[in-house]
Amino acid sequence: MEIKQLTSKKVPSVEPNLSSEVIQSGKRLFRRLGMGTGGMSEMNDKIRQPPDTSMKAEKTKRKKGRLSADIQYKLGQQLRAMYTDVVNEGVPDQFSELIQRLEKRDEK
Amino acid sequence: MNAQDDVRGAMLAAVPSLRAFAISLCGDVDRANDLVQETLLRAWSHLDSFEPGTNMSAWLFTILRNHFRTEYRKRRREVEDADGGYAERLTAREEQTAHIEFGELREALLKLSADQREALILVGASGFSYEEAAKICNCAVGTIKSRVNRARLRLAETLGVEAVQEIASEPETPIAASGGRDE
Repeated sequence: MEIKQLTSKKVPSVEPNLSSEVIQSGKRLFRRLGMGTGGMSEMNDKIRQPPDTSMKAEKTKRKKGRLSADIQYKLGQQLRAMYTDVVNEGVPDQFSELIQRLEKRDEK
Repeated sequence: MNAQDDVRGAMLAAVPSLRAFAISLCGDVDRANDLVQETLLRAWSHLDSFEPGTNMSAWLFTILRNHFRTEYRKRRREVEDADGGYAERLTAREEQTAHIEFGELREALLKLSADQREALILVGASGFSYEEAAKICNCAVGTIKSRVNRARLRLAETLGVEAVQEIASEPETPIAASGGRDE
């Protein structure tokens, strides 16, 4: 039952209100991350096998878990990379000057 | 004087991450710099409420976060009217700087609710624990966890990741709930 649901899901469900530009750019991003559809279809092939035993169903479940961990990991990597990009800009002068001004003001 | 040097050092040391946090929250560099400046001013004038020995960075993040949320409420109407004003300013910045490759991600971040965005950034990028993030956002640890999870799903969805439905249908899997460190 659950497996049937999985394989029947063909079209990526994206919210209708998102601009196609955003969706496309998202896909580009994930292609760059090596998260294109290749891995997905490979997984779907495996899932398409009939679910004859509960052992097999259990296996499929774990497989899904790994995939989601992979996506989460890559998302996390991107988030941290984006963040670090700003962190690496260091302390702009305006802030060191601000602290200096505050210190001088307090000394008086 | 030594204590003050320490404070100054800790404040300056926190500025790069404060800016990264602020830019992630509002998507606008100039506004983010204003937020950081206001945060430092407030922190400086309330230094007596900082407990020595505790995490200066977390304290400053809390001030920035609260200031942003207050401002956000005030500006909400303006932002709604502008419809895409953020995105425009964001684009302007992306063109000027070397941040182009993260444009898509930033745009997707701005589509999250403020609650989800701050939780995801604190845990997933700033490196705070769920407990610390909960303190900064003044909510329960469980709330932060669920916001982070929902934020991830929404982000993946916005970015067009096809496996989203499968993650979403399995909220009880240990991996989906395993948290922000992504190690």
